[in-house]
Amino acid sequence: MKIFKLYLDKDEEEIWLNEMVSSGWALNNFFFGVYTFERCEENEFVYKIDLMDSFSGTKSSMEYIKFVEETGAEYVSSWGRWVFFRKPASEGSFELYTDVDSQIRLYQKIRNMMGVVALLEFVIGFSQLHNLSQFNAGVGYYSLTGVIFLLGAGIGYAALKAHNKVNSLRKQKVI
Amino acid sequence: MNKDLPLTEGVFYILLALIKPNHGYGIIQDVEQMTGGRLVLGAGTLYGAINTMLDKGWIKLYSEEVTSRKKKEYMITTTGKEILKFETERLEELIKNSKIVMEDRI
Repeated sequence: MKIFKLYLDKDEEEIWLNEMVSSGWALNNFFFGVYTFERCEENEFVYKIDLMDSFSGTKSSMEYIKFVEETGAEYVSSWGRWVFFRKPASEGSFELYTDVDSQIRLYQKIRNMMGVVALLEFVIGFSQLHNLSQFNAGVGYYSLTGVIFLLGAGIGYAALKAHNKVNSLRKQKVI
Repeated sequence: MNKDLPLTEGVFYILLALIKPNHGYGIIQDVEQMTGGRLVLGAGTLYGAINTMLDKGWIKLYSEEVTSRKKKEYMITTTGKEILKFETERLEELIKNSKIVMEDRI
């Protein structure tokens, strides 16, 4: 089964994937918003999504995936810097980040990445607007630019959410 | 040297687990065993800590079989052992003082 969905929040995405498992569907591939599921036992797996330091396919990303796999998790899919892991639920809880410091670093990484992508969307959007103003462009062109701005706003909001998460984690550290 | 102290609980136990050559999963298991199941390190947390400690020279790569699928093993360095010693002394001071203060009063 294939489902197309756009998630900008990896925590919400993770919850959804684990809800799918509770109804007997296990993710086995992700590409550009297309989630491919196969049948599994109800509640068979626990899924975790992680943001790597480098892009999938690079040596350092493969090293990281191998390291996580050696701890008993299974690599499911990766896309860009995102990676999906799962572990049989029978093996107990599955967490990749178990202390506040490493959780802070993860959300800082997400915030920075989202921030850069949002900025890029706006740069592209404005240069598009500038180009379109040079000639009599149709509504179609403008709506395409609108989509780019909308995406930029969504990703910018995701960066803000990650930033807030970093701050609330930091507060946990202060007595 | 003291600016590295106090160590986080995770880092302290990882150093203890690397007194002998050990790989990632071995570290997780040893720490879990030492703490009676209380501290189970996540793979992402451990990976970050290992890389930071490699950069600081507290641990070193012990073996890496490039051709086979064998796991990378790490081991504590002399610097790492010193850090562990300083931290243990710091923790002993904490315990000593808390015992002195709390005795008779709690």
